[in-house]
Amino acid sequence: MRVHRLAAAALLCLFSGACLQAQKSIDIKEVRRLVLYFEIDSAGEFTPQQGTLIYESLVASLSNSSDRVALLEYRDQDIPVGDQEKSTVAEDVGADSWLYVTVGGDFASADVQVRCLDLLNGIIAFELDLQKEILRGTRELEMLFWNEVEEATREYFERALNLENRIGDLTFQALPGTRIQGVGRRPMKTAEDGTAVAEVALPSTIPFRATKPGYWPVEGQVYMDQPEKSVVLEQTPGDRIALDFYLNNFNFPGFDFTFFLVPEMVFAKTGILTYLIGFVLEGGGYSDSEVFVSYSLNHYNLAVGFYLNAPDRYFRPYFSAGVFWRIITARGYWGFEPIAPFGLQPILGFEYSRRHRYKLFFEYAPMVYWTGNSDDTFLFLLSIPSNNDFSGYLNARWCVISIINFKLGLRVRL
Amino acid sequence: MKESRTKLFALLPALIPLLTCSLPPYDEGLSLGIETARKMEELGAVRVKIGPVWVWDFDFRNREHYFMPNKAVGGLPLDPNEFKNGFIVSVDERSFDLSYVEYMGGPPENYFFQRGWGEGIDNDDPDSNNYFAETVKGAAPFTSPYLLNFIRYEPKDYRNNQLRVIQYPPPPAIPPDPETWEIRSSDIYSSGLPNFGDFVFDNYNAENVSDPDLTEVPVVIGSSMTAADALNSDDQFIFCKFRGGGYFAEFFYPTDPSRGIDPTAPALHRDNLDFNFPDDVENGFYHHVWSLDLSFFSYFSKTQHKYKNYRWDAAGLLEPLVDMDRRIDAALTNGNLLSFENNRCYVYNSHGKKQYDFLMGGLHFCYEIYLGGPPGVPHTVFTLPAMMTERDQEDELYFYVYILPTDRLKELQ
Repeated sequence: MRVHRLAAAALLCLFSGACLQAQKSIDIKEVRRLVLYFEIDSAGEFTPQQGTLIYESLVASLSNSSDRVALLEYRDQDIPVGDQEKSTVAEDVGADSWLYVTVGGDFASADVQVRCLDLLNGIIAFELDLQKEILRGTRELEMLFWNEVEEATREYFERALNLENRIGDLTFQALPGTRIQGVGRRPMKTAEDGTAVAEVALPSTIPFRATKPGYWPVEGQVYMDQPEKSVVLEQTPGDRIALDFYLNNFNFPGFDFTFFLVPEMVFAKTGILTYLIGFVLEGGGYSDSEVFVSYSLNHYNLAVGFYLNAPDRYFRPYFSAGVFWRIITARGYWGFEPIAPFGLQPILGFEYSRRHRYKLFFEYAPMVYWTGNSDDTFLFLLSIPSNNDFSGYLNARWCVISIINFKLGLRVRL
Repeated sequence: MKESRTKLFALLPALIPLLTCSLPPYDEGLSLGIETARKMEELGAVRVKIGPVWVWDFDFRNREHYFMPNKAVGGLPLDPNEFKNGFIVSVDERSFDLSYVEYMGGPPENYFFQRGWGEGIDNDDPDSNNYFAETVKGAAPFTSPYLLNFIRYEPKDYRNNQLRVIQYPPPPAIPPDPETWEIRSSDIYSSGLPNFGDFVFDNYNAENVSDPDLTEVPVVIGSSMTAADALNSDDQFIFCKFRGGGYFAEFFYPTDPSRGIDPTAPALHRDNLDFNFPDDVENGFYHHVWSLDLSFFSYFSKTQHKYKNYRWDAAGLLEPLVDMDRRIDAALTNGNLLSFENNRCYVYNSHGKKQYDFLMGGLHFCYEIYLGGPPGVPHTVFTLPAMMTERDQEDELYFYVYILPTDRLKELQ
């Protein structure tokens, strides 16, 4: 008895192992069910026999097209008129796709129109409009007439999915370190080899946005209808150089040269704000009004900064901080301004444009004039022109802050 | 949301003109002047700060102004407060105005500001000699009347040249003097004790200092104050004029600490100077260095379109300063000549050879004065003006006075 039990257990193990082995080795084909709607065009000049020959040759071709296609005939019934009706009928018969073939003309020269719809993916799988000539009789029907249809059917259904396959691998190929958003809940990054793979539901349309510092973002969408799909992203480097032309406080012109350390994101800029020529809209105070004014003072600026959002946004805030030197270019003296020779300048700016190359920018750019001691702070206050009041200045022992300072200008990327 | 951002962005520039229309916090004169003033302090210059002087006078905002401190008596130790009194000169193309600042003590320091006397001048030609103003040395600090010698030159018609000595507080009236320089007291002043409430400046008009008939009546071509060579000596007011017959003469008047120019004691310093100046000499810049008995003359030649400079010594030997093409604005006791141009001071020796230059900016050279124990050390006195203005409030005037030994001037280069 015990021997019998051991033998049974051994057989069971062998059977189980054999089954597992068999399961691993068998390539399970996913079969799609295709309804064939066939009709002779009302204007077609075919005899019933010719029509039957054509139909049967079509069935034969389709049956041989792919082992992933199970053909369901829909013969001797009224062909549904529209796509929706055809889909409804197809679903009623348990199919997941349909093929509608109409043949017109005559037996010597036939017009064939083919339309295939994949119900699973909700798309037109393919459409064909063929002109066929039958020169060598019925044999040609079997050998050549349906070649295009057979090939299109094979090609599509070899890669098309069935109901059981709901997940696919979407592979992005981009520069290493590219951040891809929109695929899954979390952004992903491409690896050192430049690829990033995500499992996505099938079928689905997947919008994505790929960003990498220094490159223009790439936006697009992928229609995921296959178990595997690869998307190659064309990433364009951002600009390296920009020129700024602006008016400081709407009075005095300035010019900046910007070099992007990281294109379109991190920048260093240098420039000149000159008071040699400027204009005022009101005289202010009790002084005479003058439209144009001139001071022998210039600011040489040096700053670094970064943008706070992506380069393809129309509205881009940014922040920078830097130092400026006050240079006097007066008759008889060229050199640093002695009371406050330099200062610090944080800038919060915004640029806007729908065009990439030209952007309008506006900056709040307070100036922190460094005086170094209270005596020079006092001298600095004495330097404030008579048409000003002191509401725009905050003074401390070591510095004076000009809190009302703006820049408005045009930025040109080269 | 994006549309509202766009509208906001478009709105911001429109607001800027409403928010700001500001000029840079920069005063060229002050900045450049401070550069040199710091060097002066490093060289041991005495710095005297005057202010705030509260004024409600918008003329100062748009006009060049500077401080002309009274000349200290110069005893030891030097009392810097002696330089806190003085005249504020305010000039533009058409007018010359004087105000007076008197130090009232402190701390906190108080100043009495008296708006004073004004005169129309023709000051729009920088190449012309338009006016000369210099304070006159007083006798005792804080007690003497303060005097400013002022000559108004009329470049377009030298017959209207006028000399005035302006004094504060006003002195008793001085009777008219029969000298060629007719000096008389102004009608607007009546003798009496000074009264701040109805203060007026006394005017001593020196009219008719020239005459259309050049062959008979002297024509003044320049004048200057020159520091005497001893500590307690008073300044000398010296001028050069056409003597007639093609000759020039130099006259000087001692200054009187109580009255300014002493009209009772004119002296002929040199006469019958036979100089062959071109015909277009009018209203030149004349300087005399008492300590070296050197005289200098500088004028803008309208025919040659440049400044021509000359010197002559005690023997009356005329020497053209061919290497110097700038105007002589001041002559120092060591014979060096100063010329102020392009924010700089160019220093030449007495033969017109350029020695060095230094930055001036808003610094104003006021005068040279002997300070210290006898016989005294010549010092140059510079002032630097500054102003703090606020809308709808009184202005605050500040002045910095720098007193530097003359022999250290070259270290400013």
